[in-house]
Amino acid sequence: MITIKNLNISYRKNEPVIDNLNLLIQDGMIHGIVGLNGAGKTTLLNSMFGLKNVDSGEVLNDGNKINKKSLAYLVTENFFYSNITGREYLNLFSNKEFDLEKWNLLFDLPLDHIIDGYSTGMKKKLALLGILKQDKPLLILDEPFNGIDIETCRIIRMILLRLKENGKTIIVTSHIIETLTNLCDFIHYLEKGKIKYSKDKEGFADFEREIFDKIENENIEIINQLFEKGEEN
Amino acid sequence: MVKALMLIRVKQAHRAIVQIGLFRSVFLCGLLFFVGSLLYSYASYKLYSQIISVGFVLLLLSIHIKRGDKLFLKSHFSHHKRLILFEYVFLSVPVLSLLLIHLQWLSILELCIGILLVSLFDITTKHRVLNSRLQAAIPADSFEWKAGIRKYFFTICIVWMFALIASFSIGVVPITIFILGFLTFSFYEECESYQVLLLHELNAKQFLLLKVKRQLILFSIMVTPLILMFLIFHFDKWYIPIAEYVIFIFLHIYVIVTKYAFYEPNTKSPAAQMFGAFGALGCFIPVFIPLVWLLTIRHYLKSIDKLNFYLNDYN
Repeated sequence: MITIKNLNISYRKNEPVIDNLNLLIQDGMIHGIVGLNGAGKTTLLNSMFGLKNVDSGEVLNDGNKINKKSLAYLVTENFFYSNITGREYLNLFSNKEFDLEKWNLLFDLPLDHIIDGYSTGMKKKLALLGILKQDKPLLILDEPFNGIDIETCRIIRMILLRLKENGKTIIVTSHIIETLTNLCDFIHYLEKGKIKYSKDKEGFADFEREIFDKIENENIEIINQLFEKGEEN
Repeated sequence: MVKALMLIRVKQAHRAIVQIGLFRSVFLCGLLFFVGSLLYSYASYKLYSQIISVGFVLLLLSIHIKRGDKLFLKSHFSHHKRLILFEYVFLSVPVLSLLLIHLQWLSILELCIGILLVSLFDITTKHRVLNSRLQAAIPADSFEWKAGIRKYFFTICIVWMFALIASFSIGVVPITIFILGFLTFSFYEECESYQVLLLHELNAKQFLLLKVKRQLILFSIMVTPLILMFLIFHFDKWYIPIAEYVIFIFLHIYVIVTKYAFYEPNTKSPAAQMFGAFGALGCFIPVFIPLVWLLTIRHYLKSIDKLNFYLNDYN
Protein backbone atom coordinates (compact mmCIF):
# COMPACT_ATOMS: atom_id res chain seq x y z
CA MET A 1 0.00 0.00 0.00
CA ILE A 2 1.22 3.47 -0.83
CA THR A 3 0.78 5.97 1.96
CA ILE A 4 1.14 9.68 1.43
CA LYS A 5 1.47 11.46 4.76
CA ASN A 6 1.17 15.21 5.35
CA LEU A 7 2.77 16.05 2.03
CA ASN A 8 3.64 19.70 1.45
CA ILE A 9 5.20 21.05 -1.72
CA SER A 10 5.55 24.65 -2.80
CA TYR A 11 7.33 26.39 -5.63
CA ARG A 12 7.23 29.77 -3.86
CA LYS A 13 7.11 30.66 -0.20
CA ASN A 14 3.58 30.60 1.28
CA GLU A 15 2.13 29.33 -2.01
CA PRO A 16 1.69 25.59 -1.51
CA VAL A 17 0.91 23.51 -4.57
CA ILE A 18 0.40 20.43 -2.43
CA ASP A 19 -1.02 21.38 0.92
CA ASN A 20 -0.76 18.82 3.72
CA LEU A 21 -2.03 16.05 1.48
CA ASN A 22 -2.90 12.61 2.85
CA LEU A 23 -3.81 9.66 0.68
CA LEU A 24 -3.90 5.87 0.88
CA ILE A 25 -3.48 3.90 -2.32
CA GLN A 26 -4.40 0.24 -2.09
CA ASP A 27 -2.36 -2.33 -3.97
CA GLY A 28 -3.73 -4.13 -7.00
CA MET A 29 -6.27 -1.41 -7.81
CA ILE A 30 -6.64 1.34 -10.35
CA HIS A 31 -6.73 4.78 -8.77
CA GLY A 32 -7.79 7.87 -10.68
CA ILE A 33 -6.66 11.34 -9.69
CA VAL A 34 -8.84 14.14 -10.95
CA GLY A 35 -8.49 17.85 -10.60
CA LEU A 36 -8.79 21.02 -12.60
CA ASN A 37 -5.75 22.57 -14.26
CA GLY A 38 -3.32 23.76 -11.59
CA ALA A 39 -4.80 21.54 -8.88
CA GLY A 40 -1.39 19.90 -8.35
CA LYS A 41 -1.83 16.53 -10.09
CA THR A 42 1.49 16.49 -11.95
CA THR A 43 3.35 17.90 -8.93
CA LEU A 44 1.90 15.12 -6.80
CA LEU A 45 2.92 12.46 -9.32
CA ASN A 46 6.40 13.97 -9.73
CA SER A 47 6.91 13.93 -5.98
CA MET A 48 5.77 10.30 -5.81
CA PHE A 49 8.35 9.42 -8.43
CA GLY A 50 11.05 11.45 -6.68
CA LEU A 51 11.35 14.15 -9.33
CA LYS A 52 10.17 16.91 -7.03
CA ASN A 53 11.68 17.71 -3.68
CA VAL A 54 9.08 17.87 -0.95
CA ASP A 55 9.00 20.54 1.75
CA SER A 56 7.69 18.07 4.33
CA GLY A 57 5.81 14.80 4.56
CA GLU A 58 6.57 11.43 3.02
CA VAL A 59 5.52 8.94 0.40
CA LEU A 60 5.83 5.35 1.60
CA ASN A 61 5.41 2.04 -0.17
CA ASP A 62 4.58 -0.71 2.36
CA GLY A 63 6.15 1.39 5.08
CA ASN A 64 9.41 2.05 3.19
CA LYS A 65 10.44 5.13 1.28
CA ILE A 66 9.14 4.80 -2.27
CA ASN A 67 11.79 3.62 -4.72
CA LYS A 68 12.13 4.17 -8.45
CA LYS A 69 13.05 0.50 -8.86
CA SER A 70 9.42 -0.49 -8.38
CA LEU A 71 7.88 2.39 -10.36
CA ALA A 72 7.21 3.21 -13.98
CA TYR A 73 6.08 6.73 -14.78
CA LEU A 74 4.40 7.89 -17.98
CA VAL A 75 4.62 11.67 -18.18
CA THR A 76 2.10 13.91 -19.96
CA GLU A 77 4.51 15.35 -22.49
CA ASN A 78 6.66 12.60 -23.89
CA PHE A 79 10.14 13.45 -25.04
CA PHE A 80 12.26 11.24 -27.20
CA TYR A 81 15.88 11.61 -28.20
CA SER A 82 15.98 12.80 -31.81
CA ASN A 83 17.09 10.58 -34.69
CA ILE A 84 16.33 7.26 -33.07
CA THR A 85 13.68 4.81 -34.20
CA GLY A 86 10.79 3.51 -32.12
CA ARG A 87 12.43 0.08 -32.01
CA GLU A 88 15.74 1.54 -30.82
CA TYR A 89 13.90 3.42 -28.07
CA LEU A 90 12.12 0.30 -26.88
CA ASN A 91 15.32 -1.75 -27.07
CA LEU A 92 16.75 0.53 -24.40
CA PHE A 93 14.49 -1.25 -21.90
CA SER A 94 15.72 -4.73 -21.22
CA ASN A 95 12.94 -7.28 -20.86
CA LYS A 96 13.47 -10.46 -22.86
CA GLU A 97 9.96 -11.72 -22.18
CA PHE A 98 8.37 -8.71 -23.82
CA ASP A 99 7.18 -9.70 -27.30
CA LEU A 100 7.39 -6.36 -29.05
CA GLU A 101 5.96 -7.50 -32.37
CA LYS A 102 2.89 -8.95 -30.69
CA TRP A 103 2.34 -5.89 -28.52
CA ASN A 104 2.69 -3.69 -31.56
CA LEU A 105 -0.19 -5.50 -33.25
CA LEU A 106 -2.34 -3.49 -30.85
CA PHE A 107 -0.76 -0.11 -31.63
CA ASP A 108 0.46 -0.54 -35.20
CA LEU A 109 3.47 1.75 -34.79
CA PRO A 110 6.07 2.13 -37.57
CA LEU A 111 8.83 0.96 -35.24
CA ASP A 112 11.63 1.28 -37.79
CA HIS A 113 10.87 4.93 -38.52
CA ILE A 114 12.52 7.67 -36.50
CA ILE A 115 10.35 9.01 -33.69
CA ASP A 116 10.71 12.66 -34.78
CA GLY A 117 8.14 11.97 -37.51
CA TYR A 118 5.58 10.34 -35.20
CA SER A 119 2.27 12.04 -34.43
CA THR A 120 1.36 13.00 -30.83
CA GLY A 121 -0.77 9.89 -30.49
CA MET A 122 1.95 7.63 -31.84
CA LYS A 123 4.46 9.09 -29.40
CA LYS A 124 2.05 8.45 -26.56
CA LYS A 125 1.60 4.83 -27.67
CA LEU A 126 5.37 4.38 -27.93
CA ALA A 127 5.91 5.81 -24.45
CA LEU A 128 3.22 3.49 -23.14
CA LEU A 129 4.90 0.49 -24.76
CA GLY A 130 8.09 1.56 -22.98
CA ILE A 131 6.23 1.63 -19.66
CA LEU A 132 4.69 -1.78 -20.31
CA LYS A 133 8.07 -3.23 -21.25
CA GLN A 134 9.53 -2.09 -17.92
CA ASP A 135 7.01 -4.37 -16.19
CA LYS A 136 7.12 -2.59 -12.81
CA PRO A 137 4.61 -3.38 -10.03
CA LEU A 138 3.44 0.24 -9.74
CA LEU A 139 2.49 2.32 -12.76
CA ILE A 140 1.92 6.06 -12.65
CA LEU A 141 0.25 7.29 -15.81
CA ASP A 142 -0.20 11.03 -16.24
CA GLU A 143 -2.83 11.68 -18.90
CA PRO A 144 -2.37 8.43 -20.84
CA PHE A 145 -5.46 9.14 -22.95
CA ASN A 146 -4.28 12.53 -24.22
CA GLY A 147 -4.05 12.81 -28.00
CA ILE A 148 -5.04 9.27 -28.87
CA ASP A 149 -7.98 7.92 -30.86
CA ILE A 150 -11.07 6.13 -29.53
CA GLU A 151 -9.79 2.69 -30.52
CA THR A 152 -6.49 3.12 -28.70
CA CYS A 153 -8.30 4.56 -25.66
CA ARG A 154 -10.31 1.39 -25.48
CA ILE A 155 -7.25 -0.80 -26.02
CA ILE A 156 -5.37 1.00 -23.23
CA ARG A 157 -8.35 0.53 -20.94
CA MET A 158 -8.36 -3.22 -21.70
CA ILE A 159 -4.61 -3.43 -21.05
CA LEU A 160 -4.85 -1.56 -17.76
CA LEU A 161 -7.66 -3.81 -16.53
CA ARG A 162 -5.56 -6.87 -17.38
CA LEU A 163 -2.56 -5.40 -15.58
CA LYS A 164 -4.74 -4.87 -12.53
CA GLU A 165 -5.81 -8.52 -12.70
CA ASN A 166 -2.09 -9.38 -12.72
CA GLY A 167 -1.67 -7.54 -9.43
CA LYS A 168 -0.28 -4.21 -10.64
CA THR A 169 -1.18 -1.00 -8.87
CA ILE A 170 -2.04 1.79 -11.28
CA ILE A 171 -2.41 5.51 -10.67
CA VAL A 172 -3.87 7.39 -13.58
CA THR A 173 -4.90 10.98 -14.25
CA SER A 174 -7.17 12.22 -17.00
CA HIS A 175 -9.07 15.32 -17.98
CA ILE A 176 -11.79 13.16 -19.47
CA ILE A 177 -13.76 11.97 -16.45
CA GLU A 178 -15.55 9.24 -18.41
CA THR A 179 -12.24 7.50 -19.12
CA LEU A 180 -11.65 7.24 -15.38
CA THR A 181 -15.15 6.28 -14.25
CA ASN A 182 -15.04 3.42 -16.79
CA LEU A 183 -11.71 2.21 -15.53
CA CYS A 184 -10.88 3.04 -11.93
CA ASP A 185 -11.71 1.38 -8.64
CA PHE A 186 -11.23 4.65 -6.78
CA ILE A 187 -11.22 8.27 -7.86
CA HIS A 188 -9.54 10.92 -5.73
CA TYR A 189 -10.50 14.52 -6.31
CA LEU A 190 -7.63 16.96 -5.91
CA GLU A 191 -8.44 20.59 -5.29
CA LYS A 192 -5.97 23.32 -4.31
CA GLY A 193 -3.33 20.78 -3.35
CA LYS A 194 -5.58 18.65 -1.14
CA ILE A 195 -7.57 15.48 -1.70
CA LYS A 196 -11.05 16.89 -1.25
CA TYR A 197 -12.70 13.49 -1.36
CA SER A 198 -12.20 9.93 -2.58
CA LYS A 199 -14.99 7.86 -4.11
CA ASP A 200 -15.31 4.19 -4.88
CA LYS A 201 -17.25 2.82 -7.86
CA GLU A 202 -20.62 3.27 -6.18
CA GLY A 203 -19.99 6.97 -5.74
CA PHE A 204 -18.81 7.68 -9.30
CA ALA A 205 -22.19 8.83 -10.62
CA ASP A 206 -22.60 11.32 -7.76
CA PHE A 207 -19.00 12.40 -8.22
CA GLU A 208 -19.50 13.12 -11.91
CA ARG A 209 -22.67 15.08 -11.24
CA GLU A 210 -21.05 17.08 -8.43
CA ILE A 211 -18.05 17.99 -10.58
CA PHE A 212 -20.08 19.06 -13.59
CA ASP A 213 -22.55 21.02 -11.42
CA LYS A 214 -19.69 22.78 -9.68
CA ILE A 215 -18.02 23.76 -12.95
CA GLU A 216 -21.28 24.97 -14.47
CA ASN A 217 -22.29 26.95 -11.38
CA GLU A 218 -18.91 28.64 -11.22
CA ASN A 219 -18.99 29.74 -14.85
CA ILE A 220 -22.61 30.18 -15.83
CA GLU A 221 -22.78 33.83 -14.82
CA ILE A 222 -19.78 34.88 -16.93
CA ILE A 223 -21.02 32.90 -19.93
CA ASN A 224 -24.46 34.49 -19.59
CA GLN A 225 -22.91 37.94 -19.42
CA LEU A 226 -20.74 37.28 -22.48
CA PHE A 227 -23.63 36.05 -24.58
CA GLU A 228 -26.05 38.75 -23.43
CA LYS A 229 -23.43 41.29 -24.47
CA GLY A 230 -23.06 39.58 -27.85
CA GLU A 231 -26.81 39.57 -28.43
CA GLU A 232 -27.08 43.26 -27.47
CA ASN A 233 -24.41 44.13 -30.07
CA MET B 1 1.86 42.28 -35.51
CA VAL B 2 5.35 42.59 -37.00
CA LYS B 3 6.30 44.88 -34.14
CA ALA B 4 4.92 42.35 -31.64
CA LEU B 5 6.97 39.60 -33.29
CA MET B 6 10.15 41.67 -33.14
CA LEU B 7 9.44 42.32 -29.47
CA ILE B 8 9.12 38.56 -28.92
CA ARG B 9 12.50 38.05 -30.61
CA VAL B 10 14.11 40.63 -28.32
CA LYS B 11 12.55 38.94 -25.28
CA GLN B 12 13.72 35.51 -26.50
CA ALA B 13 17.27 36.84 -26.87
CA HIS B 14 17.11 38.41 -23.42
CA ARG B 15 15.88 35.15 -21.84
CA ALA B 16 18.61 33.18 -23.60
CA ILE B 17 21.26 35.55 -22.22
CA VAL B 18 19.79 35.36 -18.72
CA GLN B 19 19.75 31.56 -18.95
CA ILE B 20 23.44 31.48 -19.89
CA GLY B 21 24.39 33.35 -16.73
CA LEU B 22 26.80 36.20 -16.07
CA PHE B 23 30.05 34.23 -15.91
CA ARG B 24 29.35 32.28 -19.07
CA SER B 25 28.07 35.43 -20.84
CA VAL B 26 31.38 37.15 -20.12
CA PHE B 27 33.24 34.09 -21.38
CA LEU B 28 31.03 33.92 -24.47
CA CYS B 29 31.70 37.61 -25.15
CA GLY B 30 35.42 36.88 -24.93
CA LEU B 31 35.06 33.96 -27.31
CA LEU B 32 33.04 36.07 -29.75
CA PHE B 33 35.64 38.82 -29.53
CA PHE B 34 38.38 36.28 -30.27
CA VAL B 35 36.50 34.85 -33.27
CA GLY B 36 35.56 38.38 -34.39
CA SER B 37 39.16 39.60 -34.31
CA LEU B 38 40.27 36.48 -36.25
CA LEU B 39 37.60 37.13 -38.87
CA TYR B 40 38.55 40.80 -38.96
CA SER B 41 42.17 40.03 -39.78
CA TYR B 42 41.24 37.41 -42.39
CA ALA B 43 38.57 39.60 -44.00
CA SER B 44 41.28 41.87 -45.35
CA TYR B 45 42.28 39.13 -47.85
CA LYS B 46 40.05 38.77 -50.88
CA LEU B 47 39.94 34.95 -50.84
CA TYR B 48 39.25 34.67 -47.10
CA SER B 49 36.58 37.38 -47.25
CA GLN B 50 34.76 35.29 -49.86
CA ILE B 51 35.12 32.18 -47.69
CA ILE B 52 33.68 34.16 -44.76
CA SER B 53 30.67 35.35 -46.76
CA VAL B 54 29.96 31.90 -48.26
CA GLY B 55 30.44 30.28 -44.84
CA PHE B 56 28.00 32.72 -43.27
CA VAL B 57 25.41 32.08 -46.00
CA LEU B 58 25.76 28.33 -45.43
CA LEU B 59 25.30 28.87 -41.69
CA LEU B 60 22.14 30.90 -42.37
CA LEU B 61 20.92 28.18 -44.72
CA SER B 62 21.33 25.51 -42.04
CA ILE B 63 19.46 27.71 -39.53
CA HIS B 64 16.76 28.39 -42.11
CA ILE B 65 16.25 24.71 -42.93
CA LYS B 66 16.07 23.71 -39.28
CA ARG B 67 13.94 26.56 -37.87
CA GLY B 68 10.61 25.32 -36.59
CA ASP B 69 8.59 28.54 -36.79
CA LYS B 70 8.23 28.71 -40.57
CA LEU B 71 4.69 27.32 -40.58
CA PHE B 72 3.71 29.78 -37.83
CA LEU B 73 5.12 32.71 -39.79
CA LYS B 74 3.52 31.50 -43.00
CA SER B 75 0.08 31.15 -41.44
CA HIS B 76 0.14 34.39 -39.43
CA PHE B 77 1.96 36.89 -41.68
CA SER B 78 1.15 37.78 -45.25
CA HIS B 79 4.74 38.90 -45.96
CA HIS B 80 6.56 36.21 -44.03
CA LYS B 81 9.47 36.02 -46.47
CA ARG B 82 10.13 39.73 -46.06
CA LEU B 83 10.13 39.20 -42.31
CA ILE B 84 12.62 36.33 -42.58
CA LEU B 85 14.80 38.47 -44.88
CA PHE B 86 14.77 41.26 -42.32
CA GLU B 87 15.83 38.86 -39.55
CA TYR B 88 18.70 37.48 -41.62
CA VAL B 89 19.90 40.93 -42.63
CA PHE B 90 19.88 41.87 -38.95
CA LEU B 91 21.87 38.74 -38.07
CA SER B 92 24.42 39.44 -40.79
CA VAL B 93 25.18 43.01 -39.67
CA PRO B 94 28.47 42.05 -37.91
CA VAL B 95 29.78 40.13 -40.95
CA LEU B 96 28.60 42.85 -43.34
CA SER B 97 30.37 45.46 -41.21
CA LEU B 98 33.62 43.44 -41.34
CA LEU B 99 33.46 43.23 -45.09
CA LEU B 100 32.52 46.89 -45.44
CA ILE B 101 35.51 47.99 -43.34
CA HIS B 102 37.82 46.13 -45.73
CA LEU B 103 35.84 47.27 -48.79
CA GLN B 104 35.35 43.72 -50.01
CA TRP B 105 32.58 44.61 -52.46
CA LEU B 106 32.45 41.27 -54.24
CA SER B 107 32.07 39.39 -50.94
CA ILE B 108 29.38 41.87 -49.84
CA LEU B 109 27.50 41.24 -53.08
CA GLU B 110 27.80 37.47 -52.58
CA LEU B 111 26.57 37.79 -49.02
CA CYS B 112 23.58 39.95 -50.01
CA ILE B 113 22.56 37.60 -52.83
CA GLY B 114 23.02 34.63 -50.49
CA ILE B 115 20.82 36.17 -47.77
CA LEU B 116 18.13 36.98 -50.34
CA LEU B 117 18.16 33.47 -51.78
CA VAL B 118 18.11 31.81 -48.37
CA SER B 119 15.08 33.85 -47.25
CA LEU B 120 13.23 32.89 -50.45
CA PHE B 121 14.19 29.24 -50.08
CA ASP B 122 11.16 27.36 -48.73
CA ILE B 123 12.27 23.97 -47.58
CA THR B 124 12.22 21.94 -44.40
CA THR B 125 14.13 18.79 -43.59
CA LYS B 126 12.36 15.51 -43.87
CA HIS B 127 12.95 12.91 -41.21
CA ARG B 128 15.36 10.50 -42.77
CA VAL B 129 14.78 6.86 -42.01
CA LEU B 130 18.12 5.23 -42.24
CA ASN B 131 18.54 1.82 -40.73
CA SER B 132 21.96 0.61 -41.75
CA ARG B 133 23.77 -2.41 -40.35
CA LEU B 134 25.97 0.05 -38.54
CA GLN B 135 23.12 1.10 -36.23
CA ALA B 136 22.30 -2.51 -35.47
CA ALA B 137 25.95 -3.12 -34.52
CA ILE B 138 25.97 -0.27 -31.99
CA PRO B 139 24.96 -1.41 -28.46
CA ALA B 140 21.28 -0.74 -27.66
CA ASP B 141 22.11 1.62 -24.79
CA SER B 142 24.35 3.86 -26.93
CA PHE B 143 21.39 5.76 -28.32
CA GLU B 144 23.55 8.88 -28.82
CA TRP B 145 25.69 6.96 -31.29
CA LYS B 146 22.72 5.40 -33.04
CA ALA B 147 21.18 8.85 -33.48
CA GLY B 148 24.46 10.54 -34.40
CA ILE B 149 25.49 7.93 -36.94
CA ARG B 150 22.03 8.17 -38.52
CA LYS B 151 22.26 11.97 -38.66
CA TYR B 152 25.77 12.11 -40.15
CA PHE B 153 25.85 8.72 -41.88
CA PHE B 154 26.80 9.94 -45.35
CA THR B 155 29.30 12.53 -44.11
CA ILE B 156 31.00 9.99 -41.86
CA CYS B 157 31.07 7.29 -44.56
CA ILE B 158 32.45 9.60 -47.24
CA VAL B 159 35.08 11.16 -44.98
CA TRP B 160 36.12 7.82 -43.50
CA MET B 161 36.39 6.02 -46.85
CA PHE B 162 38.29 8.92 -48.41
CA ALA B 163 40.73 8.96 -45.48
CA LEU B 164 41.32 5.24 -45.79
CA ILE B 165 42.01 5.47 -49.52
CA ALA B 166 44.08 8.67 -49.35
CA SER B 167 45.95 7.80 -46.15
CA PHE B 168 49.27 7.81 -48.07
CA SER B 169 48.97 11.62 -47.96
CA ILE B 170 50.28 12.71 -44.55
CA GLY B 171 47.58 15.25 -43.66
CA VAL B 172 44.50 13.21 -44.55
CA VAL B 173 44.24 10.90 -41.52
CA PRO B 174 44.91 13.59 -38.85
CA ILE B 175 42.33 15.90 -40.49
CA THR B 176 39.80 13.05 -40.67
CA ILE B 177 40.30 12.12 -37.01
CA PHE B 178 39.78 15.78 -36.24
CA ILE B 179 36.49 15.91 -38.21
CA LEU B 180 35.21 12.62 -36.74
CA GLY B 181 36.22 13.70 -33.23
CA PHE B 182 34.24 16.88 -33.63
CA LEU B 183 31.22 15.16 -35.11
CA THR B 184 31.03 12.81 -32.14
CA PHE B 185 31.05 15.84 -29.82
CA SER B 186 27.68 16.77 -31.21
CA PHE B 187 26.24 13.33 -30.33
CA TYR B 188 26.10 14.52 -26.71
CA GLU B 189 24.39 17.88 -27.26
CA GLU B 190 20.92 16.73 -26.30
CA CYS B 191 19.86 15.65 -22.80
CA GLU B 192 17.78 12.50 -22.75
CA SER B 193 14.58 12.15 -20.72
CA TYR B 194 14.95 10.92 -17.15
CA GLN B 195 13.16 7.68 -18.09
CA VAL B 196 16.12 6.90 -20.34
CA LEU B 197 18.52 7.98 -17.61
CA LEU B 198 16.88 5.59 -15.15
CA LEU B 199 16.60 2.57 -17.35
CA HIS B 200 20.18 1.43 -16.74
CA GLU B 201 19.35 1.17 -13.03
CA LEU B 202 22.90 2.27 -12.20
CA ASN B 203 24.10 4.80 -9.67
CA ALA B 204 25.63 8.09 -10.81
CA LYS B 205 29.26 6.87 -10.83
CA GLN B 206 28.45 3.62 -12.60
CA PHE B 207 26.29 5.47 -15.09
CA LEU B 208 29.05 7.94 -16.01
CA LEU B 209 31.58 5.14 -16.24
CA LEU B 210 29.32 3.25 -18.65
CA LYS B 211 28.85 6.35 -20.82
CA VAL B 212 32.59 7.07 -20.97
CA LYS B 213 33.43 3.41 -21.63
CA ARG B 214 30.95 3.18 -24.51
CA GLN B 215 32.23 6.43 -26.01
CA LEU B 216 35.87 5.33 -25.85
CA ILE B 217 35.16 1.93 -27.36
CA LEU B 218 33.01 3.25 -30.21
CA PHE B 219 35.32 6.16 -31.02
CA SER B 220 38.33 3.82 -30.96
CA ILE B 221 36.60 1.39 -33.32
CA MET B 222 35.93 4.29 -35.69
CA VAL B 223 39.45 5.75 -35.79
CA THR B 224 41.73 2.72 -35.22
CA PRO B 225 41.70 1.60 -38.90
CA LEU B 226 42.65 5.14 -39.92
CA ILE B 227 45.50 5.28 -37.40
CA LEU B 228 46.77 1.89 -38.61
CA MET B 229 46.75 3.09 -42.21
CA PHE B 230 48.66 6.20 -41.16
CA LEU B 231 51.25 4.06 -39.37
CA ILE B 232 51.71 1.89 -42.46
CA PHE B 233 52.55 4.89 -44.65
CA HIS B 234 54.17 7.29 -42.18
CA PHE B 235 55.53 5.22 -39.32
CA ASP B 236 58.17 7.85 -38.46
CA LYS B 237 55.35 10.30 -37.61
CA TRP B 238 53.47 7.79 -35.40
CA TYR B 239 53.00 10.32 -32.59
CA ILE B 240 50.72 12.64 -34.65
CA PRO B 241 47.54 10.50 -34.82
CA ILE B 242 48.26 8.96 -31.40
CA ALA B 243 48.50 12.39 -29.77
CA GLU B 244 45.37 13.51 -31.60
CA TYR B 245 43.52 10.37 -30.53
CA VAL B 246 44.55 10.87 -26.88
CA ILE B 247 43.51 14.55 -26.96
CA PHE B 248 40.10 13.58 -28.34
CA ILE B 249 39.68 10.88 -25.70
CA PHE B 250 40.20 13.54 -23.01
CA LEU B 251 37.84 15.91 -24.79
CA HIS B 252 35.14 13.26 -25.14
CA ILE B 253 35.32 12.47 -21.42
CA TYR B 254 35.10 16.21 -20.79
CA VAL B 255 32.06 16.57 -23.08
CA ILE B 256 30.24 13.67 -21.38
CA VAL B 257 30.80 14.89 -17.81
CA THR B 258 29.91 18.44 -18.90
CA LYS B 259 26.64 17.24 -20.40
CA TYR B 260 25.61 15.56 -17.16
CA ALA B 261 26.95 18.39 -14.98
CA PHE B 262 24.35 20.63 -16.62
CA TYR B 263 21.80 17.89 -17.25
CA GLU B 264 18.21 19.07 -17.63
CA PRO B 265 15.86 16.41 -19.01
CA ASN B 266 14.70 16.91 -22.59
CA THR B 267 16.80 19.97 -23.35
CA LYS B 268 19.99 21.12 -24.99
CA SER B 269 21.69 22.88 -22.12
CA PRO B 270 23.20 26.22 -23.26
CA ALA B 271 25.77 25.97 -20.48
CA ALA B 272 26.90 22.51 -21.59
CA GLN B 273 27.10 23.71 -25.20
CA MET B 274 29.14 26.72 -24.17
CA PHE B 275 31.58 24.66 -22.11
CA GLY B 276 31.67 22.10 -24.94
CA ALA B 277 32.77 24.87 -27.32
CA PHE B 278 35.39 25.85 -24.78
CA GLY B 279 36.68 22.27 -24.72
CA ALA B 280 36.76 22.27 -28.50
CA LEU B 281 39.17 25.18 -28.33
CA GLY B 282 41.60 22.75 -26.76
CA CYS B 283 41.96 21.15 -30.20
CA PHE B 284 43.17 24.42 -31.70
CA ILE B 285 45.04 25.92 -28.77
CA PRO B 286 46.84 23.17 -26.79
CA VAL B 287 47.34 25.50 -23.82
CA PHE B 288 43.64 24.97 -23.07
CA ILE B 289 44.12 21.23 -22.53
CA PRO B 290 45.24 21.46 -18.85
CA LEU B 291 42.26 23.73 -18.22
CA VAL B 292 40.03 21.10 -19.82
CA TRP B 293 41.47 18.51 -17.41
CA LEU B 294 40.69 20.72 -14.43
CA LEU B 295 37.19 21.39 -15.72
CA THR B 296 36.71 17.66 -16.31
CA ILE B 297 37.34 17.00 -12.61
CA ARG B 298 35.05 19.86 -11.58
CA HIS B 299 32.27 18.80 -13.95
CA TYR B 300 32.65 15.17 -12.92
CA LEU B 301 31.91 16.08 -9.30
CA LYS B 302 29.08 18.34 -10.41
CA SER B 303 27.58 15.66 -12.63
CA ILE B 304 27.65 13.11 -9.78
CA ASP B 305 25.75 15.63 -7.71
CA LYS B 306 23.27 16.33 -10.48
CA LEU B 307 22.69 12.69 -11.39
CA ASN B 308 22.27 11.66 -7.76
CA PHE B 309 18.96 13.53 -7.71
CA TYR B 310 17.61 11.10 -10.32
CA LEU B 311 19.65 7.98 -9.59
CA ASN B 312 19.79 8.04 -5.77
CA ASP B 313 17.57 4.96 -5.53
CA TYR B 314 20.30 2.89 -7.22
CA ASN B 315 23.05 3.80 -4.77
